[in-house]
Amino acid sequence: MRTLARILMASILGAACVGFAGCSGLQTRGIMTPFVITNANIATVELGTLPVPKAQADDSIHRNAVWFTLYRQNATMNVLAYWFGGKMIFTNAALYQDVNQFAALHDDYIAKTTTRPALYTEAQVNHILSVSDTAAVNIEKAREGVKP
Amino acid sequence: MTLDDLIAKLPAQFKPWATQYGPTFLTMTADQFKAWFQLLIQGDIYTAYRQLLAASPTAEADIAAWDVAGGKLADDVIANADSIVLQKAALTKLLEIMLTLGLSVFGF
Repeated sequence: MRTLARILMASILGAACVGFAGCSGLQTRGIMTPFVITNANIATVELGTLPVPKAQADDSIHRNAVWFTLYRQNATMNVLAYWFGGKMIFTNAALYQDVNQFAALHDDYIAKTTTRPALYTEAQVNHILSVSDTAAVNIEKAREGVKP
Repeated sequence: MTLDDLIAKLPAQFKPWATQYGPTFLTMTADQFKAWFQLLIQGDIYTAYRQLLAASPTAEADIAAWDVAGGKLADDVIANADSIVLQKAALTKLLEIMLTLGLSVFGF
């Protein structure tokens, strides 16, 4: 019964998507929807406060790393995995690659700064945070189907 | 081993060098180090130094990678928005045709 309801919902949403709004290359469902929106809001506010001290910027990049890890874990290009496989972010191929790329960049940042805290200057850490926050905002813009 | 472990093991005069070149050695496998050490034994010190510099992670290269990824994402989000506009335009066109057909059938 629950599966039937999901199929019905997918069909209705699919029709509505094409008919009224157009199909975005990045769609979310479940807890991921408020998560993506909230993260974008936090990132937007933070972008207005940059530059911040290095330690604070570093903390924020670690926080964004958690966001992008969750995006990577939940992203799929397979509509069946999206509706029935527990995945909560449906993306086209290009945006799927972007989500994975940003998750990898955050992993790389954490790995490098753990062994080498002085690798980046304060300005560079702020620059990385700025790119990271902008990416979080752009993920929401992709979900909304609007331009950055 | 972490960079801090490496620095702790070294005499004081080598510690500043470890900060710059240590991360490269930490990422080397034993075979890579053996090949690099072989260059030193053969006296090919310029090649050895060039290899060391090429393998050394730099902050500038990392920043460039972030910028490239950010640019690609922005382009993909723009392409996504354009695609939605195109879908709507195509559907509107289709509905115009359907409307014309309907009006013709019903004699308006």
